[in-house]
Amino acid sequence: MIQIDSFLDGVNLLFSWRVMLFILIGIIYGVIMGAIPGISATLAIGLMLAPSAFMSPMEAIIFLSSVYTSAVYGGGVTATIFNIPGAPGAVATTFDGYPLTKQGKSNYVLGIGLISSFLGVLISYVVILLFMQPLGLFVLKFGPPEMMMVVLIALSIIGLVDGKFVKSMLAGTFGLLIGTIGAGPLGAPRGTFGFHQLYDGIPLAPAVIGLFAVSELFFIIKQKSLVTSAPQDLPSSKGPVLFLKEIFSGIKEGLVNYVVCIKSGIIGVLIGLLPAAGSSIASLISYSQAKESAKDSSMFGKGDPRGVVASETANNASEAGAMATTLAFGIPGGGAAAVLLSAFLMHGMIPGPYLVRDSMDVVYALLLSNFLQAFVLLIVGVVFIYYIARVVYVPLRILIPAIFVMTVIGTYSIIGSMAYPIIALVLGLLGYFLRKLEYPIVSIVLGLILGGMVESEFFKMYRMYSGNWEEVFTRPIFGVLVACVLAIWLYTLIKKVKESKRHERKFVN
Amino acid sequence: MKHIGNVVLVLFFVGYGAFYYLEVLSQASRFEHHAMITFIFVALAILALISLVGDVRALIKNKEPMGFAWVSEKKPIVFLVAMTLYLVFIPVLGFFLSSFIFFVSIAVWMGSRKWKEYFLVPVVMLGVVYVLFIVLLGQRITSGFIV
Repeated sequence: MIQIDSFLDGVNLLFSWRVMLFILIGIIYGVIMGAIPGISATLAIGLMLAPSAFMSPMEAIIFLSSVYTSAVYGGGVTATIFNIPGAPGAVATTFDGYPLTKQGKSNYVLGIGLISSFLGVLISYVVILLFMQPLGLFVLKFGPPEMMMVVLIALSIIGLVDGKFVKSMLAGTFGLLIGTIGAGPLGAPRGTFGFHQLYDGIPLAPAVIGLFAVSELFFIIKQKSLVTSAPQDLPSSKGPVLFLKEIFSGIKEGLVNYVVCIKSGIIGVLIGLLPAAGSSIASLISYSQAKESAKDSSMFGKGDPRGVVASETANNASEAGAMATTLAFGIPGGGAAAVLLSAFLMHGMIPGPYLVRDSMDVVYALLLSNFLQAFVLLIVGVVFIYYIARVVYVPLRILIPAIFVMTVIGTYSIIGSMAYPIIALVLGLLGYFLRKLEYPIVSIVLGLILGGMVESEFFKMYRMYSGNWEEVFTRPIFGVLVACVLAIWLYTLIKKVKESKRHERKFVN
Repeated sequence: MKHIGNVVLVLFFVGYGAFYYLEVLSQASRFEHHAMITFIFVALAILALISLVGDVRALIKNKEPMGFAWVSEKKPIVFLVAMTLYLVFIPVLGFFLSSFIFFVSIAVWMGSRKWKEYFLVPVVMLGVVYVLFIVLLGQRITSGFIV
């Protein structure tokens, strides 16, 4: 499984003071950028592509990989504190992270997020290090029928989302529909109302920021402060030592839930391996899995630490999967991985089977550098939390306009168009109405993410197997995935029927 | 009010869905070009029907009052108007001036009376935005007629 000679050569490549310095700079830069709404890991890496040309190939790739690792973590920070996912992969972190912040436990939950990110990176890269080649060969067998099933599995989560089944499915289905807006299979734009900015579909970043952050502003405008507990009652108000104690208690909570961590890490890396599946699907599936397998899931969605552990671990673990696909096959596992791929090419390295065959020491050095990155992130993260967590005590009369101005500049800077802030506001308004009428926002976001994917995978599958549908069922992986989808749907239906019967019995009593 | 609101929202979903579906059908020449949209729209329509039946039954049974609690929604409505005006004026006044006016207006409206809060904070914040987005990231932010 591990080639020892190449492994030792990789270790040698890694240990130089310049590489360590670039890891530190990359982590600091990535955490700050990732925490700014609208600046994704992809943009953060892209901005450093040109400066990285002045570094040696190994230093450049390790530096950019450090940015990737820490930007993913940074996105979870704003998701927790402001309910603004810094990246789509941090959406699931808002479910329990933000309620914990409102209870005055921002340091605690940020500590959980930090250790979960750390463990997510560690677990996923151990898996990749040991199993890269066989995993990669397995992924290559995934064609459009299998990808269609993976998308359907992710869609099935909509039924498991809390709240009324019909409302959840209705929101999810509407999300699916608007997720197909843009250029269709024939290239003609649909549902764009003449706006060329919608040609590629409703952009995910402003949509997520609008549905989560802007809609939240409409709620908190009626309050005086974000945190319901009075600041003077919280331990952290009594000095930096107690402040740090809260962060470390969060870290301890994450370690206590190591089983959730390990499961989420594996889910994250496996889904991250699938090109275009993305960290958002990984974190949502992991969250759903953690909730369903918990003995007592009553606090999920209201501030259960396990929800934060599951989503943040999977979010960071999916990065390893995306990296493995990029290194082993030259196929980027996601947007940020695509930018990393261009960095490889810029420095004269061609990821793919030949890199794995001829320069396995380089591959090992890159994979091992992520372990170092995880440790540096832990230290940088604690310092970062110490300062950023205080923001929740800022009065809302300052925080609300500041958040909206940052939302506008963050969404505007994605493509330099006012269309994106407008989309964020419109969807924010829709999100407000949905939440007032008790529709789960996550369902519409899931539908939005998966709408485009489900249509394109179905289209490819139809073109491949039209008139010959029985051939699809000869694909063994497809068969297994179909069984999984049916099992999930059956389980969801039985669960919802039981829940409504229990609710009726309570009402009668 | 919740059931009425739900009916309105569901009708919006179906109305928009129908409009979009007809547009897709008009472009599609073969089954596979519109198949997935058809499945999604049919699912949406079925779910909408189930939801509407439930809401109408609840409305008849509970005799829900038709009033709308404007008072509790006053702040969100005012905030929405402010946000809309802010976005409208960015191309006219420029990002920095509009953001400053927006920030000061909202802070004062929400009760800020200290000049450090409603003046100094936005100046510092917009300064950081300028350094980060324009100087470091090289972004070109809409400038309007003035700034």
